[in-house]
Amino acid sequence: MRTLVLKNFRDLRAQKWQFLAVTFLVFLGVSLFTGLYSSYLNIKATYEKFYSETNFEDFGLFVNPAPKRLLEKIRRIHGVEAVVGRITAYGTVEVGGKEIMVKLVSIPRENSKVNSIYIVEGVYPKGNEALILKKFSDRYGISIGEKLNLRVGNRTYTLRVSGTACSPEYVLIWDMSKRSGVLFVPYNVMEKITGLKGKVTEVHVKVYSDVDEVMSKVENIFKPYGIKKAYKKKDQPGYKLLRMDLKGFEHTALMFPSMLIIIAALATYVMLSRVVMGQMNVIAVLRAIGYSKTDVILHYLTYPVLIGVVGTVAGIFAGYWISSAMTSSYVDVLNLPYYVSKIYPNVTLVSVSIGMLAPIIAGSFTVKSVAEVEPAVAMKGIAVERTIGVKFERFSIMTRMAIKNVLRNPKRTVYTVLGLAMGVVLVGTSLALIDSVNEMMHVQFDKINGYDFKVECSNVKGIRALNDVKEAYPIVETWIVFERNGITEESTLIGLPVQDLYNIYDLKGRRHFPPPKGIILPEYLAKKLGVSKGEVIKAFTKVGVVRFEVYDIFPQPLFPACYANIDQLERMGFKPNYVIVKGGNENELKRFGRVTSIKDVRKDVEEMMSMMNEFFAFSVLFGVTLASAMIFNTVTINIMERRREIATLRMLGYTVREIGESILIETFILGFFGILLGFPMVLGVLKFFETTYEGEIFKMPFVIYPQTYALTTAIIIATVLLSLLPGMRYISRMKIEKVTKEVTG
Amino acid sequence: MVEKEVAMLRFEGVWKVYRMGRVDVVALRDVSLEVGEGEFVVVLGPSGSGKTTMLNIAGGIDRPTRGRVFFKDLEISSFDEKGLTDFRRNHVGFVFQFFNLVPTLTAKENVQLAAELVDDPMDVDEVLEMVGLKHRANHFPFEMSGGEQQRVAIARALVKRPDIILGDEPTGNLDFETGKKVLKVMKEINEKMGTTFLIVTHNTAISRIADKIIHFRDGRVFGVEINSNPIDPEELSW
Ligand SMILES: Nc1ncnc2c1ncn2[C@@H]1O[C@H](COP(=O)(O)OP(=O)(O)OP(=O)(O)O)[C@@H](O)[C@H]1O
Ligand SMILES: [Mg+2]
Repeated sequence: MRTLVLKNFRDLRAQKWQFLAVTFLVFLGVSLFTGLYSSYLNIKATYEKFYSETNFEDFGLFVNPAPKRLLEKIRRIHGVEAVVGRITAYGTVEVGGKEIMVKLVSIPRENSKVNSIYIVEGVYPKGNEALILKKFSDRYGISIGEKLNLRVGNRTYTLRVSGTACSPEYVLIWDMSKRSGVLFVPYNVMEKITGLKGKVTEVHVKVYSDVDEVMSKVENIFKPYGIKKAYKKKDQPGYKLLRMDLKGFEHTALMFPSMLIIIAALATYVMLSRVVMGQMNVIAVLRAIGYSKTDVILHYLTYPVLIGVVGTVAGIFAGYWISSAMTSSYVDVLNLPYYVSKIYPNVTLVSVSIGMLAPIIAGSFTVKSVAEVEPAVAMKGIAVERTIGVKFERFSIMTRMAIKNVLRNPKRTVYTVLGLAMGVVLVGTSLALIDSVNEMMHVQFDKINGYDFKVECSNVKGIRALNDVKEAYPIVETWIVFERNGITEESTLIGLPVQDLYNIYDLKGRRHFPPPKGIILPEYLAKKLGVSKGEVIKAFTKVGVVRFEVYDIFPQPLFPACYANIDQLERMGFKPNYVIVKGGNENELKRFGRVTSIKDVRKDVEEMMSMMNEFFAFSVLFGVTLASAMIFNTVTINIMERRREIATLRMLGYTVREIGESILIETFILGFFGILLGFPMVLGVLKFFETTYEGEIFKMPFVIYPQTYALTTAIIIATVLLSLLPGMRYISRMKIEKVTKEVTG
Repeated sequence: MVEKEVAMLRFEGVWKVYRMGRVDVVALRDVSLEVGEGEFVVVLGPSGSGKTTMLNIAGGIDRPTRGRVFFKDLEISSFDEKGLTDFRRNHVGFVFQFFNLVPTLTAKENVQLAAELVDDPMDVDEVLEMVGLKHRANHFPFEMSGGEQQRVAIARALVKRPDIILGDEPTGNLDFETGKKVLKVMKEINEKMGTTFLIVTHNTAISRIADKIIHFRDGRVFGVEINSNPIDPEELSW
């Protein structure tokens, strides 16, 4: 059998590009699966490790200032493992001459047993010291030992940085106004800063028995003081967002590689059936000499096995490399001190099985069917060509040939069109996701937020009187808890006058105005509460229990909120607590209260999105690679399969150019259908993302800009043309005499 | 009468019918023939008379529709797939009309391909020398002429030390001189090594080198001629 093995290698060498292209597809599928899925597991493991090491809470309460001694009462409740109370406040610190907003969070004298602070560097703070979030320190280059000038209201304090830290409550800071600045300050210092002596405004609890039971007991304790918000672990905003994102990640990690593996299997099937068909006579000879059916099957199975082994082994290595790079860059965006990157035997096992089995199974179909053929029949060649009868005398001979080739091998045509469609899906979806991110930024910062600053104060007149302020309006922004049939749902209530700085949009991009009366609810909330238009709903707010008529319900992009008219809210007893300003100057505005600059927020968000865009750019590249591998494969097979026909045409006097034209026309026909099929698939994938990433804290608008269609089409066509080159080169350099002599039957 | 020696190959009332939709094409009708050990037999007949069909059945790559085929005392027409493969492997050497070499293997490797199938093959270089191609051992098929390729095919058939070599128009594609060279190689092997040859052709001239000539027409054996005085291929002309 040595010579048969030799033949394997010779055949491989003779058709190395085709084999490489197919192997590459397997490689892509396996590496993507290994990479994405183990990234998913890494990220999950990272969260789990961090949340468990820092004793993440089982539930939390945001309350009006209540005595700290109540914590003792909570500790005595059966089932409570640990409890921590906090006071929080906002302030600014001066870094490099710039005032940066920070959130101040109190921490007990000793690290708590729930929501523990994870110290990355330095020590737990004592006296006038504070720990700062690791990312915050990295970003502004604040080092340990440095003194921070803190301003809260109109008083100033000096805090020494005792170290950098991470906290399970602030893994993902999704509220744009909070930014990355969190300072963990000893409780007694916070008492002084806030003036809330012996009080707490947040309670975080870890339990070892039933959460609901303990939670309701704790709620009872704080009821007299007023509970702003109560949530369970799964509803903690950062945790929830991460879990959602992780779910989407898992879907992606399964969907894209599966599609690729299917494509790889198809490619193996098509390529191998070409190879085997082309060697019909060789098979007949082998059988006539005395090689058995099994010998022949094993001989040809070597190819898919080799494709599988090489693609899989390389894919697994590349996959783990991708996974470690991906995990680290994903975790980099978050406030986490470390990441877990492991090798998962189960993932490897799955990769090995699909990476090997897909080509082998696909390959065995053709190999087996051919080995079944009787040598006496094979000797005569089974040139069963089926052409679908179409009249096309109107076209030139070259066009006719192109059309005939498309119709000649329907299976291959379908495979190529599917492969091209896949390329369109990858390229188109990635570009569309970039569009979606841009659209999101556009909706948030050009449409919804038309103002430049948001100032925490109620002095509209004072602000309007400032020189370069163009417009300023008071707004209400506060918490609200709805209750209906025993279901409570917490949200944000925003009261607006009719103006153009803070606008309400629905997911379709239609603008809405503050209702004359009643309240606008985001669709998800209305669904949860089971409430419909025109009904009246009860809610707890700052000003006590209120009732609203539901004026309208629609899905909202990005950060859904409940909107009402500010006049109505004022009549109910709410006081405007922010002023939105167009124009003006940050430093002057600061005199009125805490200022949030939209420009800064936008910059922060864009920074966060840049990683996403990198990822999408990577998938565009990936799509291009995939499309070229596919197209290259078909074109090469097409040419190799017809090299005798092409040689004959050239002998007859057709020029390389004319033959090339025919192949070009053929490829364009395939490309046209691939693109036609691809775009609906892109829309399907986007729809899928839309349902996967359906969130209540965050809803991304998925869009495709018209120019993206054009760009995708251009990319695919360019890819097609590039992958045609080697085939064209082959034709032009083809030795006609050599081809005609190769004849084996 | 003395009991007749068992023939190397014997067809007994062999039929081959191809079913083409509603039409039956009868390729062989009631063919009976014998090829004795060490004989050089030529089958003559016009195109479409069933020669190739007969040869394929003789070599165990096709099966009769009806009738029996014996190789020595083995009834190969009753063999299963595996039995036929073993039969081909151990007893038969094929030389086809078209060259049927593996294009990605050199001359020597093509011969090796067959040598590896049996326990006691001839020396590959020696066989190539016998067909006069030692100097082309490392050439690929596309680097050789048609006659050279055909001689490689003979070497490949020979290397297994088969009992019988079946040739389907082995000179059909070759010019006169080259054809003669190929026939000479076969005849020499037949004489020196005693290998039985069954050659199919429509070229009547070739029959003059045979010990026995079987005439085919319309799928039937039309007549059998014994040539008591076969000539040397050198003396052939057509
Ligand atoms: N697979 C097949 N299906 C249908 N008919 C067949 C098949 N193979 C051969 N035939 C028919 O059987 C008959 C005998 O064919 P065969 O190939 O044996 O002829 P031949 O004597 O070898 O001819 P030639 O000298 O042209 O090679 C012919 O009529 C042919 O058309
Ligand atoms: Mg024939």
